[in-house]
Amino acid sequence: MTGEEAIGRRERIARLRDCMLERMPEISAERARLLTESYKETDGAPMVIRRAKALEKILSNISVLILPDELIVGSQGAHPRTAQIFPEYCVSWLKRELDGDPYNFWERPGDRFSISRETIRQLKEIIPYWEGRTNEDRVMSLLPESVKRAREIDAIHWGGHVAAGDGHLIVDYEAVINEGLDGIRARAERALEGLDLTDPEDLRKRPFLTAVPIALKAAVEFARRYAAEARRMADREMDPRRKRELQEIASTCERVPASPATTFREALQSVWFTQLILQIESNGHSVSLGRFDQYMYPFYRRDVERGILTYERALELVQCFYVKLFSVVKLRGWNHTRYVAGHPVFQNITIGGQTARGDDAVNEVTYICLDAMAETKLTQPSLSARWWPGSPARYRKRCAEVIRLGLGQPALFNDEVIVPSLVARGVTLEDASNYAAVGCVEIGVPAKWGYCPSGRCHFNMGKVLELALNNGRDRRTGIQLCPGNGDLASFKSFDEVMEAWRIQAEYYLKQHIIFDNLNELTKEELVADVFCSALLQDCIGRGKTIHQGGAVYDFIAGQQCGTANVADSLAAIKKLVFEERVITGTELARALETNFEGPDGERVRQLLLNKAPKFGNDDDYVDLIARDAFGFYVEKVNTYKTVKYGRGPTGGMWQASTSTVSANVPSGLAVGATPDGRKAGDPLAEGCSPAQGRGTSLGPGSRPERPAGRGEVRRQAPQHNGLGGPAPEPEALPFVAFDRRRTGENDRRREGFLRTQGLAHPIQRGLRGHAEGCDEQPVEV
Amino acid sequence: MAFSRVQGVVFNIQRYSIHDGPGIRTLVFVKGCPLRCGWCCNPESQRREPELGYMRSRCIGCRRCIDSCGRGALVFEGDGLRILRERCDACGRCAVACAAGALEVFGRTVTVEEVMDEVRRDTPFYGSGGGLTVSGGEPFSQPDFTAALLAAAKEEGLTTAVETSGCAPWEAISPALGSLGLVLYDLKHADPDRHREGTGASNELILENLGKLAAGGRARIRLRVPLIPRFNADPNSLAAMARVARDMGMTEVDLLPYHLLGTSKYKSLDREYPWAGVERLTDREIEEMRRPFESAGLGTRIGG
Ligand code: SF4
Ligand code: SF4
Repeated sequence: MTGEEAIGRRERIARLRDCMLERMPEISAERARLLTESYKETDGAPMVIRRAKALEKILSNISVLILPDELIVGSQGAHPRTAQIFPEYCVSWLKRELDGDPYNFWERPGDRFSISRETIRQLKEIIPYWEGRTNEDRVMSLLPESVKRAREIDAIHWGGHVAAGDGHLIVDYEAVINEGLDGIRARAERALEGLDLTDPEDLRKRPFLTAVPIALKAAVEFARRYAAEARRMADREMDPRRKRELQEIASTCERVPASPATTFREALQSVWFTQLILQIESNGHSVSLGRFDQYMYPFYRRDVERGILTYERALELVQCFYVKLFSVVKLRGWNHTRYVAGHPVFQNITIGGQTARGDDAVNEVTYICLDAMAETKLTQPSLSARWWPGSPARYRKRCAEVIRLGLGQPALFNDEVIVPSLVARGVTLEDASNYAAVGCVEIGVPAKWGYCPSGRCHFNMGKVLELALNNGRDRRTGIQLCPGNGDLASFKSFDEVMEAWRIQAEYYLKQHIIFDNLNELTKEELVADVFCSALLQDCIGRGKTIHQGGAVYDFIAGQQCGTANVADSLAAIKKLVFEERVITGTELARALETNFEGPDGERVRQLLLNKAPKFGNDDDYVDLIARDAFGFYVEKVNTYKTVKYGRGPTGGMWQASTSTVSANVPSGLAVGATPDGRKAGDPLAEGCSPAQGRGTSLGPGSRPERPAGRGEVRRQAPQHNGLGGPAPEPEALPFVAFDRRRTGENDRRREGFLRTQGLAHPIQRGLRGHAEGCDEQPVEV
Repeated sequence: MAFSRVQGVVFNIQRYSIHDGPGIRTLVFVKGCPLRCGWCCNPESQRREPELGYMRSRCIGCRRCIDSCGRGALVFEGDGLRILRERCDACGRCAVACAAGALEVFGRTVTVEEVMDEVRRDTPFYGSGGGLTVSGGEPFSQPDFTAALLAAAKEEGLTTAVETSGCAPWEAISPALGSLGLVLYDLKHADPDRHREGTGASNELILENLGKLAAGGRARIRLRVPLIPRFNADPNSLAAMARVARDMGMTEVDLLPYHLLGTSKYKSLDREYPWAGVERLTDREIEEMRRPFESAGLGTRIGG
């Protein structure tokens, strides 16, 4: 590595960064217009074919953009950060927001976008075609009244997953770079030829297998358009150095992703094209990159051995790739944006951990990923570092150093917990050892695991609690969907309170499942992702899209917030009303109704805040209540089938999740005062973190060391002595000490959560350098 | 175990500390200190007896505390409470009655076993480096308790440390040495008179003990110098301390910049903060203060 090379690299990356950051992301009508034209042309054909043809039309006509200094190319549109529109999912919010309701895109309180007059005109022109045909319209027309009303009172909420694609998966990047899209296409064509068309089962597979080659060819053609553009630019380029770079871009894009990559650079470009096309095909977020250091390393090593690549050069390429990942933005409706604020797209790269044979997996590309993160300093991609007892000291140290930079990266994932719990769910040991992070907190097996968002419905635990304490009646709207067993004034014992919780939790959980399964069914019918499905095992083999059950593994989960509020509230009721009797149920009910504004209200609130234990401080009294309350939800949710059940994948069942992103803020708006001393409208607690400001005596293990749900965001900060001492050494990161001892059955205090976790999905969200699992701060709402 | 029932007065137990010794540690703060350093950020640590603190900012003026006190030690004046300290025996009834958590008794009597129950909660996280640190106050102002606590921790395989001012009779210190891995030893001033002015006691005993500890060679010593403006944060004082450190055979010192965290605690105890109004050091000044030590051939660590 020469100093000059490093300087050149830093300057290039700084310019690319500036280019991405200097302007607001821009909305484009290109995709929406091309999609609409294509849909009109293919009316009546099977939907998978229509989807493949639409993708073909988009990829053949969408703007190509090669920016100065870029080495890895491919853009969502003509602007460095273009947001395309996906009208097939939903146009209702688009229609409103194009008219400035509630905000013009460029005037939003957060996540702003610019948009031209012409784009507004074009979008308005196509909206009428989509009205009544979108996924949202279909879902809404089929929804039972109970689900609609559950939403009206905000016990459940949905937005993103009706109005957008699913995302949340890791496609088979290894196949893309080692087999090439042409190779995968050949596999699909062989499968198509091999069908026995007299067998109705095979006949059913035919449309999908016909659609796959269309989509894959379109992807290859898209890359060739970039090759042509690069050639054209090279011919005109005066700077000989840039001319060479453009020529190299051209020859790279001529080869990949069609053919197997032959160099590190080709592999990287191939991965990026794949990632980009997935983003253009659908707007689901959290499309993640899996074990990037593992599938890239063979190319790195070969190139270094051949003398055509250095660490420094590879770092530059990976940084260029990171900038491209950062260019991915999504336009979401404002109402949904509030739940996932900060333009998050959660493209996660996983590094480290162990190989399927149980050896340590760290290699030079692992360090390149960490160095690129430390130097590029952008909010995308997300980096997740797998951790196990065999992780080398250099790796641990480098991770700690990067965490110390305060970027919130990398997140740490504990192999020792995750691998066995995946195996317990029917995943093979080999696949489990190969797990990777998806999105912000989910776990999947790369190339084999279907869409796994832990964020379908938002299940508002705070609201459900409020209903439970008020005989099932919503105080705000007066709606009573599920009559309970009494209210705070009438409960005779704490058992009755828990019973009330179970009644409401079960009822609203059912509404969440009904809604989500309905949405799954309409998506299967209306918005199949052909390109994405072609790249996931074993869709081609089974002749099915992911929605139809093509994936090897398939589990999905909802999303919830307010666990800590529920636990704290129940503990306060148990202790202060039923045990110490310092306040009656009637008094408490009055204080809640008046939002603690009555004459004695503030004293009651202080009592609730200070005289009852709070979740997250390693206090059994309340932690075991949390286990019982949340455990009930976990246990119930695990009994429901998803629409893929029995159609091929291992799994096909619902799971629990403690993922929140920023949903705790808007979800809190609809929830009145709660018995934990929280005032009406205040945010609920995030994930499985203690409620805001209440984790006062955190020990390193003061929350469950294994997750209570499918996604866990763990907030953790060591006690600081206030003297401005040095940042922790890696050995002080508690995660280092997460091992089987900690989960030992002899530890009574842990037992409860372990039991719950036995039913839940295996996620261990590790220590993050900052508070939440997403990369940007929620906006104030 | 014989030592498990030994009692002491503790005012705080802090888990997951990463600055007071190696690895992840649990800090046990014992109450009582022979010194009265004007900059002390834990005034509640100074007296041995439990005492009542009142956090005016948390008080909502409900006056329930007044009725709960059987000794008539509380009166409401203006917008807040006044504690008639001569009547109060820190029984804590008022703190129980106060919904707002505005009243708190600092200090409770606990047994070694009770402390160890708390310490054991984090056993899996201590690893090979972490463990127990006894801090204060002055740990050796309660010598039996401190020695018993350290012995109990050592017996369970934890690393042990104390943070001490060194201001205690040698007979109070020596019984603990068999169970002590690391001594974080404060050096506040090299000059006996200046030391007396700032802390209320001369440094002779402290230096003598340090010499014995260093000569004994049993426990590892880390010397810590608090950087206190208007007291020792000047080149001459620092250079003199550097000489002491070198003479004691140290190779490295920790420099702990003074901070203002104690202010509100003084108020809660109706005490004056002697160092009120003293500005904290800037980063640049702190950097400068490494120099006298480094020219004496000592390594320096800020914080630590
Ligand atoms: S009980 Fe607490 S809040 Fe009420 S007056 Fe006394 S100190 Fe203030
Ligand atoms: S601690 Fe006891 S004596 Fe002192 S004020 Fe409170 S109740 Fe009265």
